[in-house]
Amino acid sequence: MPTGDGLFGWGAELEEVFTGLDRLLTRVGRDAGTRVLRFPPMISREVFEQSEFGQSFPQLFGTVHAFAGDDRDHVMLSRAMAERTAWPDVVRPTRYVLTPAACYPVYPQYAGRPDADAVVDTSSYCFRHEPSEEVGRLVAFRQREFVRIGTSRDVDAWFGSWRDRALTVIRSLGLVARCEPAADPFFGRGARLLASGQREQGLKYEIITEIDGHPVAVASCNNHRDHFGRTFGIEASGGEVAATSCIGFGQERIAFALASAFGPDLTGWPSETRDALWG
Amino acid sequence: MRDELRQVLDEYALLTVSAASLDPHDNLYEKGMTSHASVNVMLALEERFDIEFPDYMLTRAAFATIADIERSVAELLGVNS
Repeated sequence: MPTGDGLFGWGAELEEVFTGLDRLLTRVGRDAGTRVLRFPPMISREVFEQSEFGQSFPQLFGTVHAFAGDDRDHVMLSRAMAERTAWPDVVRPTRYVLTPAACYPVYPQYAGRPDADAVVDTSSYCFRHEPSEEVGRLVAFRQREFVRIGTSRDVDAWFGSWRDRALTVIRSLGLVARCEPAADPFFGRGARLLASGQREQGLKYEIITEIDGHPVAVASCNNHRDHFGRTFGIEASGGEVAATSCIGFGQERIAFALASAFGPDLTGWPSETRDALWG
Repeated sequence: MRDELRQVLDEYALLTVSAASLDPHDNLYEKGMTSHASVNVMLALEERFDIEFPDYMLTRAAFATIADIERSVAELLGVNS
């Protein structure tokens, strides 16, 4: 049920799918040594700036704004709201930015601590400012992520190991899926250069399935190399700048792909799908 | 052209050493240039030389060394002149 551009609400069935997916991903991605971290869907402006998301994707981020004014400003704003006209300049950016990817609040937790060597299970609502009619492209969506922080050798191995694991978990739901090299939707004239660098170095792959006949990425695995280690000041064992990698699962997209493949009635879904979600 | 190129690198490439100390075939990424920095180098060169890099030149490899960048810029200046 759409509630506005790129936003939607849902009922009991979809909630049941989300619950099943969460359990499935816990089974697949979490082990005894995994640290579980959950955050609200916003990060501080400082963390946002450190991440350099705004340098890569200025078209995608959204900040939290709030009223900052006196009684006169309040009257002006109230009138503009009642008349549905442009707001006066009394609503200004706060210190908060909407989380663009679930893993962003994780990196600062390891800043300034030696010997970072961790697997983190995290999850968040994420925001990306790309209102669209495109199937599965939402502005606010749930992302479940696993994050690896450590030496470049350990992180490269972890990044590679998710290729099969991610494909297997999506296929275990009965979906037809494939793994493809990918690049991020960088902004402006630099986009081609950055995307070509990402592809040349094999730093991103996506698990692709279909929603209503359209190919859609439902999971993406990213090797950030030392980017976040450098920007957040994270040190791995031996004093080297930490490498990081993450695998993110788009929970709405997986649920939409399942509904598209098997219909709206969960009781009619194939037994392998039901077992994977709720077995 | 090489002096101007080195100036742009000093200003935008975030190198750990001065561009003057680099051999034309040193790998700039190994000398500290990040991918974001390479974009800033690219944009600065376009402004400095009044050129526009076509899509086929916008690869990581084309910005890997001073010699690589020089080759692209020379080709574009040749086309423009």
